[in-house]
Amino acid sequence: VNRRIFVQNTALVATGFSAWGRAHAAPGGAPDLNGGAAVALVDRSLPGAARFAADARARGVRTLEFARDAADLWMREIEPRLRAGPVAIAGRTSAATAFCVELLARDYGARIVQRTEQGEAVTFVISQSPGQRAALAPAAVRAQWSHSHA
Amino acid sequence: MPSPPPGVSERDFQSALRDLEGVVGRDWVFSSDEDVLLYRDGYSPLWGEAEERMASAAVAPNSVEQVQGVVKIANQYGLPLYPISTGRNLTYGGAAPAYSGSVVVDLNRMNRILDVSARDKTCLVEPGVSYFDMYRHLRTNKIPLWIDTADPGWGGLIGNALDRGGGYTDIEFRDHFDAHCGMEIVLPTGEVVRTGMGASPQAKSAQLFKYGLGPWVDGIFSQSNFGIVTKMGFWLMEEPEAALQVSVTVPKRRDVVPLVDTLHSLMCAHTVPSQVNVVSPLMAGNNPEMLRLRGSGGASDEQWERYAASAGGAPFWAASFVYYGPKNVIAAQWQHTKDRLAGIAGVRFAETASYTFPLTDEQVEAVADKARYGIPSLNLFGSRAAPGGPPLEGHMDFSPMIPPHGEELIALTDYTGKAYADQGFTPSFVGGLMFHPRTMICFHAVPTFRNAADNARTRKLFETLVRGCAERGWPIYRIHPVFQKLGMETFGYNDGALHRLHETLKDAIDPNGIVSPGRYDIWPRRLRGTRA
Repeated sequence: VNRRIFVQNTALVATGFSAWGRAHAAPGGAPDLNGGAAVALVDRSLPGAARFAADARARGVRTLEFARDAADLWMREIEPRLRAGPVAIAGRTSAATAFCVELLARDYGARIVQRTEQGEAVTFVISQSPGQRAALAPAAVRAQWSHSHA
Repeated sequence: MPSPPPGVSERDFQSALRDLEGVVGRDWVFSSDEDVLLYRDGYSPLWGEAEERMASAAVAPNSVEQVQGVVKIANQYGLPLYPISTGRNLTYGGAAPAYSGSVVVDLNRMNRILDVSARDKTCLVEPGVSYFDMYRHLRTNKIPLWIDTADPGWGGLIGNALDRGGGYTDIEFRDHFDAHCGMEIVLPTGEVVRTGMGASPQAKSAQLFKYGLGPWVDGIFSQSNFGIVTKMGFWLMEEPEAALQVSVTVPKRRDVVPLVDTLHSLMCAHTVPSQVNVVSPLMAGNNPEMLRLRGSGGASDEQWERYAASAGGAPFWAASFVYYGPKNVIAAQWQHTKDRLAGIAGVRFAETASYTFPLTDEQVEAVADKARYGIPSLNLFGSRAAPGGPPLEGHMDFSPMIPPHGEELIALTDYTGKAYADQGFTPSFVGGLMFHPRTMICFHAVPTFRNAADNARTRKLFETLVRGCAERGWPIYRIHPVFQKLGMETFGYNDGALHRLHETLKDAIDPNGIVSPGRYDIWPRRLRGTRA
């Protein structure tokens, strides 16, 4: 499960979030991977989580912490952001969570662009890239949901 | 670029793709290698081999009319189509087609929740609606209804129901196909059909009464290839006042017989409402002696008791389940359950979680066993590879169905443990899950790899399990596309009469054989000589 990366242009990097931050943080502000918003997803049950989260917060990145199961954050925070427009997701999670988030984010044209394994943790960046497959669930479609709850 | 479907020239294929773009728009036809690879089965037991099932392209319509347009073009060019809803049922093939070269019809964009009735406790959805979507919709709008979610919860209501998946809450909802009420199908001819009361245009009971008038045909659209389902209604569970999750453990191997008999009786009497999960804590993990006993296939009760005595007092069997309802009713049900099981020497009872609804967001996050409360999760991931075991790429589910009898569970555990060991695999952890009211499904994980040599071993194991269990009276209830022909062979009563009926229906409903050729080994006439 933790080696399933379909995307052929995924670039593995040997360094963690710090390198990601150095490479992508906009001067004086939050990281800006794709001209849009960024969030950091941190599994607080893993080693190094606190440092990663602190690093993200110091860069002004909205940091979402969870323990093992990212489903609730996906529903409440990540998917709505992806639906609204391009967003970069940096993460330090289990390989299983990284796999799940990447697979879910594909429906919004996002792919893993950086990934490195550090023991039981994986540090990754998921982002949308120009020319990638378009989102399958644009906001205009979701907005057509019924409100008939009589 | 991916190859065109078998029997379709490159020129016709390119022409068909342009026509599909005319129906759905250029953005929604996918034919580049990179895009088509997204529909690959990452857990394929044929990974990287010539026989691996691969799509030739994908198309993502967003309306019934566009689905009709896709079907029309497929008939014109002889394109095999493979509709998926969310395509995330990874242990049963994911989004990859049953027949290589098929064009995946990705229904993710048809993700509208068309109706939810809090009064009638029903919903009507399109195929792209996931459990996540529906849960969020109910919670955001403070509608006091529960979904019954598959686990993991990233799949879709329609896809899971059509594959006859199961969940965890009350019996009325956890058989997902049984919980549906009315469907809309685009037939392979392009005609749109609605079933049940929904066939009566003004009916006010389309999501309330399943059968309508005349023959009830909904069943033929599950685990099949007779059309593209574009809407389904479902019954939803009213949020209970409270829930109590409990555990019952028994110490000895044969205690599972009265344990399961009693719990089954209580389920049939509607005293125990939820799915009952029976597992062996003693047979979990990777203790070498335990694995040796399991792999022997015939360890005696005395051998197991000796092992149990040395294993630190872990119970041999544990059952877990949930009561839903008013607190005083739950208390009475739980007390009655304890009274009925009290005759098993050494039985122990525990209350493992209790909730009063609705839950706050913080309480939801803290729920350990979310699917039992209609909360979709991804908890199941990460529980795959045993600590210290070989790295796994993924797995397929092998899912034999047995009567709810403890002696059958013991016999099955003996048989499959030896089958795994004989092929050089560590025996899978086994649980008996009572999704349905009269049976247990015993899920086994069969690992898949990214190399042909290991996958050859895994396919041999899978085939052994399917045939061996069927011979012992435990056929599977669902199966990965690569093994659907094998699976259907085990349902071969009267020289395959059921299979012949399936293909007779196929010829009548799909004369050009365009929808999901080969799914559950149902082949259209034009491809019968080429079946896998």
